[in-house]
Amino acid sequence: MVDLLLCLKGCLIPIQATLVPSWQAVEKHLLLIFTNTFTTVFQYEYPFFFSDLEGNAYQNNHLLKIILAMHQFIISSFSTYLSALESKSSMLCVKICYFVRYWITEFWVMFKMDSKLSTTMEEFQELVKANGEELHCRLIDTTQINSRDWSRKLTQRVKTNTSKKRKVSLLFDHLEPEELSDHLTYLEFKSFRRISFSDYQNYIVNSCVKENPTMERSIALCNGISQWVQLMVLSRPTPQLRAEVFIKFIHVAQKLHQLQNFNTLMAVIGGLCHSSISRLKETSSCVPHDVIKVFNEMTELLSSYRNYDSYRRAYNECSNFKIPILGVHLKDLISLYEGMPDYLEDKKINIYKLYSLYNHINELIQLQEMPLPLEANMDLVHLLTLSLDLYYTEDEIYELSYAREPRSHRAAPLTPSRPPVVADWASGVAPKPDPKTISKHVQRMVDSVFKNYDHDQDGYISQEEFEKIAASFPFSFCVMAKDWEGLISRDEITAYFMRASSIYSKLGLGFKDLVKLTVLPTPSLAGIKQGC
Amino acid sequence: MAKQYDVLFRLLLLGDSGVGKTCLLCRFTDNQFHPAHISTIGVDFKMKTIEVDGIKVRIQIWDTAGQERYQTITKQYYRRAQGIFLVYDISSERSYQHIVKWASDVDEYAPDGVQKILIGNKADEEHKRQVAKEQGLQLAREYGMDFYETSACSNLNIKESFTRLTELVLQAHRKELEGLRAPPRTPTLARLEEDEQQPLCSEDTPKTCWC
Repeated sequence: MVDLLLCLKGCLIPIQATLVPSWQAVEKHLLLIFTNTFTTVFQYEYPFFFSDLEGNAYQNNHLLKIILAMHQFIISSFSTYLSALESKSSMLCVKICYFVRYWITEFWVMFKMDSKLSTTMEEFQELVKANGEELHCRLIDTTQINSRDWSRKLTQRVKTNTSKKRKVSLLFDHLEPEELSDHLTYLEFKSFRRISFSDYQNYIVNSCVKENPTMERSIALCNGISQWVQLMVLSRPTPQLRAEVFIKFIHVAQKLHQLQNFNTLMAVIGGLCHSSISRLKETSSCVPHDVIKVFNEMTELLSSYRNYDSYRRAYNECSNFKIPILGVHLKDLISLYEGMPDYLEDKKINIYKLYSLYNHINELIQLQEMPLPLEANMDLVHLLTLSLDLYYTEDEIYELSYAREPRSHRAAPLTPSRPPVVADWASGVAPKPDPKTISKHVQRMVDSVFKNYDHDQDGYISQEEFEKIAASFPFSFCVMAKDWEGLISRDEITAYFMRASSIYSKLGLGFKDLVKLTVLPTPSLAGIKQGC
Repeated sequence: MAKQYDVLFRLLLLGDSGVGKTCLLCRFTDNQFHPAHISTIGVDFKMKTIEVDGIKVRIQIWDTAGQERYQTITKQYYRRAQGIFLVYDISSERSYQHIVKWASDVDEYAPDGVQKILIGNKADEEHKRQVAKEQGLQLAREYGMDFYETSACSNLNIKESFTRLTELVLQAHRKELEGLRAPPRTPTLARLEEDEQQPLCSEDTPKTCWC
């Protein structure tokens, strides 16, 4: 108990100076939390304690903020308030109203996110209208919640100078590692900064991304980058060419490290570490030793060894702009949440748990406010967005890997026998594509190309743009059979991809798989693109 | 410097997000949990020493808590595991179906001969049950695994399942451990234990006892 108080003192000292009530009051308030059950605190003691305050005096109370921000970890709805109000004196009602007003003002997002909470609050408002005095009604105003600009956070653009004039090549081979790392960072930061406080909370409570689109997108981006890295390497026909792409990605990784973008760094290095790449002995024999050395250093930096010790050290030494490996920090949050009890002995709430969770989340939120230290070219951003939206299965990437560098004879008998597949993961076993299926996939892909690139919606896209598009995909080396001029129609593009499919089948790669890369089935992508 | 244990094994908890892996772990290790371990340079696995067959086994249990959907992150955990818990939630049909995927990942990334056990967690939530016990048993049979329904909430089968997996790993490594009870010194064990730094799987997992 004493220890906990000491722990909390650190965070309370700033309050001491700025807040109306004295330090003793804060201490008393702390003691209240410790000596009362949570419900009592909220039903009665909390508003009571703040009786000496005016509504605006709440503002600097860090601890109160923590409690309000984190309470959903312990109690899910606030119906207890109703009974509190019914039984209390008019004087206390005012205090409760002040308290609730502060709550609504400071944490309107929470009300938006938690429909149960806002419903309860509306009921509360009704109750106040029916039984309370006029003053009370004026204090509680749930319409405030709805009038808030909900989309503020979501539409906030990444602050950067996006120059449209600067010419960039959109061919992967022409892109400098720095350009790639910058644009990947741009995308990463855009998705990272959309994750709100409540998203983290929901993730911890539900331990999954259900109804948590921002978190899901961020994870999908991370996985997409990993797959893209693998596919870009595997798309090259010879070991030398694959090694070149590998080396390029190592340079991208170095730039990402310089940018302190650890999340994308993890995705890139993770992709290169993947066994579909690491098994390519011919390719790795073409990679110079100094590059391998850098690769090993990076792998070590991101290793899970001792709870990501080296990453954590590096991360903590970084100041200014940085993007954390979200997965590692989410794990911390889950461990904190599951590992610490909600209540201490005698049903005292575990304030330290709330405090730790709050601090962890808050640290991540703070990083979102950092200015992005780079410039982005929107064409490149669009291109990357499209090519990162990958829907390859692990098995398909493996097939590609084996097609490039078949197993050696010695290793051949070790082919792992796959367990009987009963679930919907069976997609990995791809039958030889029939023309009908190919045609369907090409059609879907062409649709998405037009959706994203036919800006004036006239059914044509410019040749220039088509070349950009084709170049952004792992089968970019598939050259066009004839020179198109001016505008290209839907049919022509379809024909191109159908032709490409026959080239691919000669290479031993199912075109169906390659086309899949480009299919954009998620509505979420539209959201991403709008934000670009 | 007398050791507190004779042998050290690494076990890994796998399964969809939200099936209760961290809960299982916390329960098994009696909530001996220090929050400082999390964000400092601490330990992300939890340790517990249990005695099986007269051998003091130190088990290190790793947990992917909340990182399950990050493909490149989770793959890292497989390499050094000697035993794996495949965990689903009896109130989630989906988590049960995904066991197939987790199992094939294990085949792909974990060292050969890794021992596996199937766990249907949240057995206390009978009213929400979507996966019958028979389904769990059947899947376990298909894979030749042992099966337990557990509950971190009511402490059902927690100790039993952890002990069972430890036994299996112990059996699988019996050959190297044979000398353990007779002479006090065991060179193989030192290797098993000190290999933390070794990159990738390959050599540190003995392959003599199965196949």
